Amino acid sequence: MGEDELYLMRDVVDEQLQTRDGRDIARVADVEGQWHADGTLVLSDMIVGPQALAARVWGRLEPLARFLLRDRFEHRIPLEEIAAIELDLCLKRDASAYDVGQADAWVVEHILRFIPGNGSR
Amino acid sequence: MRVTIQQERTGINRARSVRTAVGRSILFVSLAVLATGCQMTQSPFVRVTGETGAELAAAATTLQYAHEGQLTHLYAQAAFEGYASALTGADQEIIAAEGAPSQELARRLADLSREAAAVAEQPCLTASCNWQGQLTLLRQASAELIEAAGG
Amino acid sequence: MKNVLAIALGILTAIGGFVDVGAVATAGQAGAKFGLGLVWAMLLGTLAIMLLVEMSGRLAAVSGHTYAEAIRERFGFKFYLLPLTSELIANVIMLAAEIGGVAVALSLLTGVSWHLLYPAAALLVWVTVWRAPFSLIENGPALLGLITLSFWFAIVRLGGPPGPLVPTLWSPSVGHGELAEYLYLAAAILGAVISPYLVFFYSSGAREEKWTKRSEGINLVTAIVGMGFGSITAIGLIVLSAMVLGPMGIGGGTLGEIGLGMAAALGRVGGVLFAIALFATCFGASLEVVLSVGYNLSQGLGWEWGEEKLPAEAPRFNLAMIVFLLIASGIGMLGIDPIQLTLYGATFTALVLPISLFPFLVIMNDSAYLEDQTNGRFTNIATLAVLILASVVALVAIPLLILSGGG
Repeated sequence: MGEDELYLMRDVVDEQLQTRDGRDIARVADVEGQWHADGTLVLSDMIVGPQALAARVWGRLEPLARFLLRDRFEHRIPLEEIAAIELDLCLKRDASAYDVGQADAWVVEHILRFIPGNGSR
Repeated sequence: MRVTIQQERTGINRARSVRTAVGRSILFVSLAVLATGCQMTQSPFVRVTGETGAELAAAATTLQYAHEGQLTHLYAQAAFEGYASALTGADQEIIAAEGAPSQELARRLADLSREAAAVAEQPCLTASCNWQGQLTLLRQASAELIEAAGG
Repeated sequence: MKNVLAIALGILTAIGGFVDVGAVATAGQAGAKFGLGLVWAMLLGTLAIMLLVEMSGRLAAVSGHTYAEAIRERFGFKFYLLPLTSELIANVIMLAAEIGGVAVALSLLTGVSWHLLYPAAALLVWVTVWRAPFSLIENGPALLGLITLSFWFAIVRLGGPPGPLVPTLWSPSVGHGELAEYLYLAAAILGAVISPYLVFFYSSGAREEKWTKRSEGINLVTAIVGMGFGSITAIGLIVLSAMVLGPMGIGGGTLGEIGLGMAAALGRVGGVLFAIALFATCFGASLEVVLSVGYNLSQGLGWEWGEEKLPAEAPRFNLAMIVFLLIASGIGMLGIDPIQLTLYGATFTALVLPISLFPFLVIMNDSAYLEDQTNGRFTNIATLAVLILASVVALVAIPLLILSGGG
């Protein structure tokens, strides 16, 4: 990403995260930032997960979602992981390097592998 | 201190007001259509006798075609399953339907419908049973029901 | 030569997507009850779906993004839930009906009860989605669906529509008290033809086929000629039903009796052809509905997706389709008649159509997606017209359903 390029929230939130090996792993649900002492707001992480999505639908859903899901499916990806912002967000590393990239592997391991013809090795 | 930024799309506000307007319009139009609806519809009696008569016409034609070699027996058998299902409870619906000219007529048509439905449950698709009698019954019941529906 | 083949196959797909159990049921009833008086609804729906399909294909080809992806990205997650939810509800009813159509078709060929064949039909759909490559899914049922052209052969065999029937094309004969039913069938035809699942499927199919900006020609021809052919087929069924079923007093209330028109023209072969046509169109539509749900969910939520991929390469995509298919099959196995289910599905689709179509107005004018291929003024006006049509249909669908006694 260029140092002097300006990006909007819409370039990040709800965009597709694509890893270096070409896999789609998730869409950005939310963005986190930190206030600095000089009054600037620096965005730090992208949030992926159902709790963040629930909060966007209705703020009051978030405590309920947190109670039910206990942060098990929430993931943070630092903004520095973005290699390029196009129509998708291209990440610097392969899918296996990110926690949320494991979700598909979990489904194969625990569900699909019992069905013949699933194509897993 | 951690601050979470949540973003709302500006287009959403426009979408929200459009949805409210649409919702109110739906209510208004629904009420208007329902209020004038009595001129657009048939009475329940006319509707149920018409539909039953039409199903019996289909059953009669299917039976005739099966015996004239215009339909395979497998097709006819499967089609009759559909007719039997469509005719289940039709006799009760005819008696209960509002708008019958007389209860006597409704009962007669319900009886006809019940007999015809019994044929649809057990259609005679071979030459070894009285398929002509079934055909006559189906045609007669269909004609009377369609006539009662104003057809 | 390769382009010609690609276009031909694309057209076949469009035919298969256009004609489904909803189109068969509504066309059969429309012809039986009102002669040629509802052909206008079929034509109007055809123009609308041609436009929508062309736009969704152009979006995918130029931007590399599908319609569902663009909705999430452009409107945000909260809005995206609206078309997603409405599509899930409409499609679960439609899928139950389409599989029912497959089961009935198999029943008409074998004589076995469709209730018993339903699980087999559902399994066949799932196995095909699970393992078949996209090209087979696209072209297999569509090739078989060419049999639907036999509807017009039957019409010619019977000598064409008789003189008194022709004026009903522009002057429908609607009897006293039949107006609600007439209008309800018109709304149902529009709901059956303007199917958002087809738009989501087509847009994703364009990505599966790796269309680029240079594919605009194929896209245009597929959308216009393909949907046009599908429409001609469905109109053929209206005409045949008007010629044969109407005069016999048959209403087209079951799928089996809609085939009697073919039997009248072509004898035993006619009935068999109708059953095969019903199988091909409902099977093709089942595949497209299931896949459109998988595509919509995966693309909106950011999962890996693709029918060309092995299940283990797109696990959540495949799992979502398995779950959806199970739910739809559960509904279908309650034994509700497929025609009744399809009318409910078409009515619900008509009700929520504006929600699914509204994003087109915004996305197709966004140069970030379409670059120099954004909508021209005429296309925008046409899109707005379709949206207004969809809104009118949505307003009247439920009142008409109530007034007409459920179709």
